Amino acid sequence: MNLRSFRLLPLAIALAALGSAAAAQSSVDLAAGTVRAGKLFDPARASYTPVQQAGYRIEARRTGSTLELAVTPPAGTAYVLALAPELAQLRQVLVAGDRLWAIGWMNGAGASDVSLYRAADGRLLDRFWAYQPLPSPDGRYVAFQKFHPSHFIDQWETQYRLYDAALAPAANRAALRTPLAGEPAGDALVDVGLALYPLAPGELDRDASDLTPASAHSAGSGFAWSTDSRRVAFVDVQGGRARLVSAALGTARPQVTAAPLPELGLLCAGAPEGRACTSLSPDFVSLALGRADATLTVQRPGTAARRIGVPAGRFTTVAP
Amino acid sequence: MIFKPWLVPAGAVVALLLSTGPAAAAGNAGDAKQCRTTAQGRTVCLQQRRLGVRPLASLLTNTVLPNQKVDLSAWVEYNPFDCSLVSSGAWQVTTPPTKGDVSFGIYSDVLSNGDCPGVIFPYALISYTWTSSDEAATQDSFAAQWVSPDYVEPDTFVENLATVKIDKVDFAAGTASLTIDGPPEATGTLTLEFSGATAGTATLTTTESYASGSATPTLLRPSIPVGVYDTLKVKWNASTPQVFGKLTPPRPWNVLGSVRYSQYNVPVESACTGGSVSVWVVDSLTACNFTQVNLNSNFASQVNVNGTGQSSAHGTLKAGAATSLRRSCRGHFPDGATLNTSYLQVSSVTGSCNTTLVADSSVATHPTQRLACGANLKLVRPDNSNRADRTRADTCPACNTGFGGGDGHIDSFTASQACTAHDVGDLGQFWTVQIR
Repeated sequence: MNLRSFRLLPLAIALAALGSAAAAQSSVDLAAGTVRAGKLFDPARASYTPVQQAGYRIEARRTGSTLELAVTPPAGTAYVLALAPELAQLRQVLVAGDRLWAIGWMNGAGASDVSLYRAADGRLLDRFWAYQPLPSPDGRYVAFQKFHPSHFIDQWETQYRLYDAALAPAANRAALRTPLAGEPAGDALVDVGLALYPLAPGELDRDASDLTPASAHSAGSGFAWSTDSRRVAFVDVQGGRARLVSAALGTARPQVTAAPLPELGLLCAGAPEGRACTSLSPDFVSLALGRADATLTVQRPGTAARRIGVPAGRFTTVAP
Repeated sequence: MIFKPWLVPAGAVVALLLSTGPAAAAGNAGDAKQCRTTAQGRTVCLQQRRLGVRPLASLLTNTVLPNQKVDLSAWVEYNPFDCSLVSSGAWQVTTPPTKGDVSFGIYSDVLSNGDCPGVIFPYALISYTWTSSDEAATQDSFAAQWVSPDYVEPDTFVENLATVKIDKVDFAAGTASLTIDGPPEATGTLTLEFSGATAGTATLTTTESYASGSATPTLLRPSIPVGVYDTLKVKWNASTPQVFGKLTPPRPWNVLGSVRYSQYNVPVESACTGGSVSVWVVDSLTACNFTQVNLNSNFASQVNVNGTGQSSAHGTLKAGAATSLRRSCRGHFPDGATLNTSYLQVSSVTGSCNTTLVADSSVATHPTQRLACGANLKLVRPDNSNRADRTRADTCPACNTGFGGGDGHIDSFTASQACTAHDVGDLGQFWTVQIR
């Protein structure tokens, strides 16, 4: 999730900001997926500026509690499409080739609805739920964390997935493992995507009720894409240890490698050396991908950025 | 009338010597006057001026500030008949101080006992300055004697360093309660330093000055950065260096910083519009009886998003994916049933702390915030006024992100019965501290 950040303000300025923020709407940048001023999740007061992408003019507007997109293609007939009723605040639209992605929050906890439309006429092609969805620059893929209910849940873990718009919806819902006897069928909105991580038997697509606190995976960062959309990476934390996971795309299955990140323990106040800092929010971690290496940047508000270089040689293959 | 002592009969001289004379002029209470007849038959008197800042207290005890000279005592010997100076005398230190320095001078003033009105006498003055940098030192003492041609007056002086005692820190009220014991005329602002092993130091300085006595400075709470603080040091800026007090609380102060509060609710089916959908309702995780029912489609969807909902006909329902339904009722799922189309009936709306959620009171936090169930939080606006209290009762899996530029994210349970999150926007961003 790429959010525009602001620093804490001195009291006098903060008082002025309070006064102005109380009246200001939340302005959503549909291209960047960021929210300015107001409140981060503010569906009733969110305003959307029309965007131009690939010749398409896209305007988001609200009718009651429903959001819709008014789309004017570069050629062809303009149309209006109603977004999913669960989508309360639109965050990003992306036009790539003949695809139009609409991604938005379903609640303040960041549960997201991801919908794929045919750009020419707005026909719904597919739809799924996720956390932290991030389209690739070329719009073919969406990397995301598998959905789970946002509240009233005792156990959960982060499972990383990849949606490939070049595949049919059914192909994006192929069973990731052999179901156990008597297990329910997969759900079309939730059981989606190719598995990125974890891949180990017993961890792949497991049920949350089979977790122990030490075994659960959690996200240490959001996703990062290479500029050529051929590589996606993220930080995963399990048992207090962080790894930078990288998936190379373009073959039938993603080629996944991982590099340990012992340096994260040094960046977290109070965390013993050698142990990853599980209290470090993904909000403070960003990734930049090179051809085969990566750079991790950790920056909390009001502090200097700390950079960790992860050379290609540190990555090892993650076997399924 | 001035008497020449050598002309007065001895008895009369004695009577004169015992006279207290006219009422003492204004001065420190208890300023001593002694008179005697010298071997040479002169009548001389002695006047002491106690110059310490506590006229009603012990003669020789003072409260002092570092590096600030305090005049302690002054003596003079004079002739009461012709008001002539016999001698200012001089001070001799017999036991030196260990935490400061003694200095001498002349104190010019009238006699406070009323003798010789209008006549200025030069008293020999002794002063003290605390100079020690030992933070553990609280008291100094020394002995000195004043010597004149006809007198030797020994004294012992006790100097107590001014203190700052922190009685209480109340983050809920946004105040600290202090007791300052210092020289009564001294004033200074207060500098409050919160520190912790992993938090650095947060420094607040008051604009108001405080004198000796009780002080209740306001804590500008939003200026304290996120961190766990285990020590407060309060410096009284009445001197350089300052005197200070320290407090280590029984439980460190857990400042969560500027936290974004999103909101969540339990959607109510009767508030949802639209068509219905066929789903499965499960009676329990042990019996695993699946019953096919119809729910409003929007309601069913919202329960899957948020985890729990209040149905019109089937009570409180939890999304199958929010429970252990998949494992507990393995083998019982009807054909076509999924976790997203199966809902567990529960008796009440409880969070992960197994307590009933209270609207506009309960919050859900992420495990990395290390807040135990029942932890109480105080939400503070940027202007330092209190916004609300909250209590941790649930877990928010996604609240380790979405900080909105702040230091954290907490989900606050609201009474809204709205079907969708359209009307369940953020509560706002508030500075937050754990108060219990």
